[in-house]
Amino acid sequence: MIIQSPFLAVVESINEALDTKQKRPSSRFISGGTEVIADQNLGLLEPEGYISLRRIKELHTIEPKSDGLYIGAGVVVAQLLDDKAMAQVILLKKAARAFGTRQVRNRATVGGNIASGLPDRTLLPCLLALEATVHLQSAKGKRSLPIKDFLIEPGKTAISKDEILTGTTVPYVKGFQEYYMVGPRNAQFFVTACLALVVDEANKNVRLGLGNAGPTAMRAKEAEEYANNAIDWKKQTVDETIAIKFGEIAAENCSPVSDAAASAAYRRHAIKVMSKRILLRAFERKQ
Amino acid sequence: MTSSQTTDPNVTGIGTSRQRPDAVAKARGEFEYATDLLEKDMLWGATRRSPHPYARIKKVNLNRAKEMPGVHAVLGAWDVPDNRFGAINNDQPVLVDDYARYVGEPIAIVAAEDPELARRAANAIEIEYEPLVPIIDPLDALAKGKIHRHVKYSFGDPTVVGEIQVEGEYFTARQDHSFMAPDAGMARPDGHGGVEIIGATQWVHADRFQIAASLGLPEEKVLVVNSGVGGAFGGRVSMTWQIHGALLAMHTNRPVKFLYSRKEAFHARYHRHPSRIWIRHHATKEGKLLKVEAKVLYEGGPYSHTSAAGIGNGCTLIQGPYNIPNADIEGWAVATNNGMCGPLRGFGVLQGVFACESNLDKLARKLNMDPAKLRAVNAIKRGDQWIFRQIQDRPTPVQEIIEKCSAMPLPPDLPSDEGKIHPVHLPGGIASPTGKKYIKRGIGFTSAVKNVCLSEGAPVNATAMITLRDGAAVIECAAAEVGQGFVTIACQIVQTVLGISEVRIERVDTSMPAAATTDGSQQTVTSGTAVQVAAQTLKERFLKFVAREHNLDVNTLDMKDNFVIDKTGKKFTSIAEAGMGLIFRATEKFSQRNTRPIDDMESNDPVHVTLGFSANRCVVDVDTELGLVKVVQMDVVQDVGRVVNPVQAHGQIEGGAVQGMGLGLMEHLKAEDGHLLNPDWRGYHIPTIVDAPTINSEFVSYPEPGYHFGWKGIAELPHVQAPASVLAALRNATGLELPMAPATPEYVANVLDDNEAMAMNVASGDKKRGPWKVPPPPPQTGPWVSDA
Ligand SMILES: Cc1cc2nc3c(=O)[nH]c(=O)nc-3n(C[C@H](O)[C@H](O)[C@H](O)COP(=O)(O)OP(=O)(O)OC[C@H]3O[C@@H](n4cnc5c(N)ncnc54)[C@H](O)[C@@H]3O)c2cc1C
Repeated sequence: MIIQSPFLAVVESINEALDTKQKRPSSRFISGGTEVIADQNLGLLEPEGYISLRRIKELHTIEPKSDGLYIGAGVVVAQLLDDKAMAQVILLKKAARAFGTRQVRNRATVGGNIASGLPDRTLLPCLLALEATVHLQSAKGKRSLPIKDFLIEPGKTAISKDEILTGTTVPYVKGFQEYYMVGPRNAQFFVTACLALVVDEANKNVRLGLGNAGPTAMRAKEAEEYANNAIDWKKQTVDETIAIKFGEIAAENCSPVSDAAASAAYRRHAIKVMSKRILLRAFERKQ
Repeated sequence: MTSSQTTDPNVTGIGTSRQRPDAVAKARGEFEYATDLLEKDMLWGATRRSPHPYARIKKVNLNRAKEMPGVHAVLGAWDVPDNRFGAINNDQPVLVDDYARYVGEPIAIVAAEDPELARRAANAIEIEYEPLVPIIDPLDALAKGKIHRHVKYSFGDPTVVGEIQVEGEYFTARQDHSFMAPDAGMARPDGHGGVEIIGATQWVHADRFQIAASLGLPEEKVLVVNSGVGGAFGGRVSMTWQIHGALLAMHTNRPVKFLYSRKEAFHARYHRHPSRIWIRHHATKEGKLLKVEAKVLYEGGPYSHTSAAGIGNGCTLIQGPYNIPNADIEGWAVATNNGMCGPLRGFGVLQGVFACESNLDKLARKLNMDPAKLRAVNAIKRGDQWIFRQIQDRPTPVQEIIEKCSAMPLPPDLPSDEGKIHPVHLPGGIASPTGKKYIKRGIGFTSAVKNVCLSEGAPVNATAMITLRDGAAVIECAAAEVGQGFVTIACQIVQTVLGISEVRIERVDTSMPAAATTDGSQQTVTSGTAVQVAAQTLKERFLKFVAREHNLDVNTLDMKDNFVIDKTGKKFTSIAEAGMGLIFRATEKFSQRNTRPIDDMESNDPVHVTLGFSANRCVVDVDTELGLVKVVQMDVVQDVGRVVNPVQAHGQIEGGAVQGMGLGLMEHLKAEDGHLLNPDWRGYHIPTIVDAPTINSEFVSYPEPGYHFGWKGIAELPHVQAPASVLAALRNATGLELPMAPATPEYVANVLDDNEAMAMNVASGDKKRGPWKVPPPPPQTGPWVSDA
């Protein structure tokens, strides 16, 4: 018996990637590899081979467009920190700073982060709060869908086997944006729980995305609804009781897991406290 | 030639910070770790391990693996000439034969052309198991009589009752060494029927003894070479791949390399014994300690390994560095199926000190007394007797250490302008939801004691050989360098004794006479002393030659700054020239004083060779609502006897303090039903530099008698003490009891649910308070612990 090591196809265009995928259907797309290679080393996956998307130039762009900021799937997290255009989506910039280590940020891509679909991924609650759209492409054509419809269950997304995630469009929202996380240590690492708040001043609403608080990253719809009514939009203030209630509702309506890092009770508690604090913060800055 | 040598005595010898010979290579990534070893024609080894915590092996069929092309050997238990080995008792199979007793226990091994093939071949081995009910709770193990060692002793009048009594039950988790370089190395046939083992270890001679015995070879046929160590911390006392590698190399007549993945290493390694300790202190109203009572339970693995020594350390040094006239102590190291346990920096002592210090915290609170004062009042002094009947007959600056530590400057408060604080200095770090208004500061104070050298009758000795030629010396001493700095220390000692600057130390292997194990902070005081004695003998021989050759009185001569000098300091001739091209050599053995087991009531030997002391004041900032912690500062004062290499001494304190802080805050290898829950660095977290506090270390130096240079072992104390210190500071900030290390955010925030049982599960479910009932051990039923 001769052992086949997994093949590596380095492609230069989306079409070439899709072609290769059609020919080798049980191969796997790889971008930064920070997740795939770690999983492979743990024996969690043994693909026939990899199709590397890193050389596809069209996936690397960050481009302001009329409907929002377009971020290609191949953009690495470090670029979210550095690129000037990111000033328009301050939330992703803040989240990027809390993402992994410098080495990981230099390799990990936005596309890989979204495509993983896991509940503890940094960018997902942010994209949910920003109501981003994700763009997919296959040999059959292109389609776009809201990020909330993209996330289905842990590790499972709307992406089909023959599709590539090409990028995401993040609408511009005027107002406060912030990202909070708690983790098992102070040095950057995977989150125990995290959340992202966007205050949409134009539409007078708040949007709260939660990470590691349920089977997928999720919006705290009930808490948002409560806050949208309770906030005094004229005065732009929130008093502490509202913030506390906001946190309690967010915590009641999430369903985190218990694992070796933390209990479900702690995660729920963290969501409660972080939601309260982030709402207070959003409106204290107004004064 | 002599001109290139440094003649300034301030830059060589004892007291200077000589740089490690591998420092630059390590910083540049050029150092060859054991993981990097390559050899022509080498094969790759792989191990098939038990997926069950406890199972009977019904059948093992190696044939499918053997038939795979490219596979050169597939070996099972019956291929091991003597299939029982162990660090102390031979109670552990090299490869499982009848029963597998922990998840990850090796059952069969493979050598193949490439690592992937070896892994697949190992997976192709067919094994039939009959899973059995494992013991996962140490209390259960105790009730069932699965006991590696039972210690019981009292001191003074154990019936004394104090006016003030404070008791508590304390827990420490299973800690992993998490050294950077996973288990790896090369085994190769030596061409003469023997085998060479090259890899990272803490004691080449103990490895050789065990490898040779398992292979049925005389020790002379096994050469063990210490090479490419990437961290050890006690972990490399326990062998993992070595005997397997030797077997495969002998079978295939080819070099065989092993390289464990991180996950495999987590399963194969022997972790720190989880502990559960009930302790009660009796004191007067003024805070004078009258009695200590304790029940100490350490969870060992299914095989005895070093558990007996660990529980012995814990049952004695649970006293802390305090004078306590009465004591009643009982302890057990029990066997469970949660995986192997063995030495880790501060072996056995850390757990006892944690319980002692935590309970003294409680006492200080009850007495409303400053914790440093409580400790100073009770500090043990020279001439006092330990509860284990040992006279404290060496310098004992405990009170001085405590007072000095509490006088060190405290860190400033967080700046009032929040914008000025970089988030890495806040609890939670970057993107933390915290802020100044959510943060409470806490201060904890602890002192600690640690035995230096192996204790309770273990012989501790070392032999060193030194050769001097042309004014330069070479040291051969089999003391394993594992990062602690013996390679510089030994050279500095020779520099000072011989007055020369060019000194080198050879690579360590078993062709040399045995030295001490790199364990128990003992290498400088043991092998270092052997080096000093050998250098002294060599110096006498050399000067005798010079005196005779030049017709001088030997008593007027000395060696300094690379010269032979006379009494007035006048340079006579360079050492290089005076030697006339001849080779001068000396070999000496040094033995530490004898020790006795705790329960040996006849002997008056000490239980511990000597003891080191330290104090640690820890300052934390805590977001009490979320349980996030930033350790702001640790101030450490330690009794070091004599500082040989200041940079390394401070380095040991800093590294130890951070590693101990890891256990205090986050390091917890959890097991459920005998299966490890977080056996990789995704789930098991160690602190990084971002988590590290500012550490200020200061030394007090009283020359330790019995050693020419008065040194003392230092490397474990900072780690022993840090968890207790961090927890003391957290209690101060939160007002919570926090009986368990690590105090992860859920504990610090006091948010616990049904998951608590699992977290407490150091590995136990039962959280009954008080000294637990111990039924008499039932007669040994079933083959649970092999052979014994
Ligand atoms: C040390 C370390 C720290 C980390 N810290 C964090 C952290 O703080 N926060 C966080 O969120 N994550 C973290 N991660 C996880 C990981 O780095 C991120 O999820 C990262 O964004 C993945 O991107 P990648 O390009 O490396 O993905 P890859 O590993 O290349 O791929 C991930 C998955 O996405 C698929 N995929 C990749 N690109 C595409 C595409 N264009 N179209 C379709 N499918 C695609 C792959 O097939 C694979 O299933 C960390 C990882 C490590 C090793």
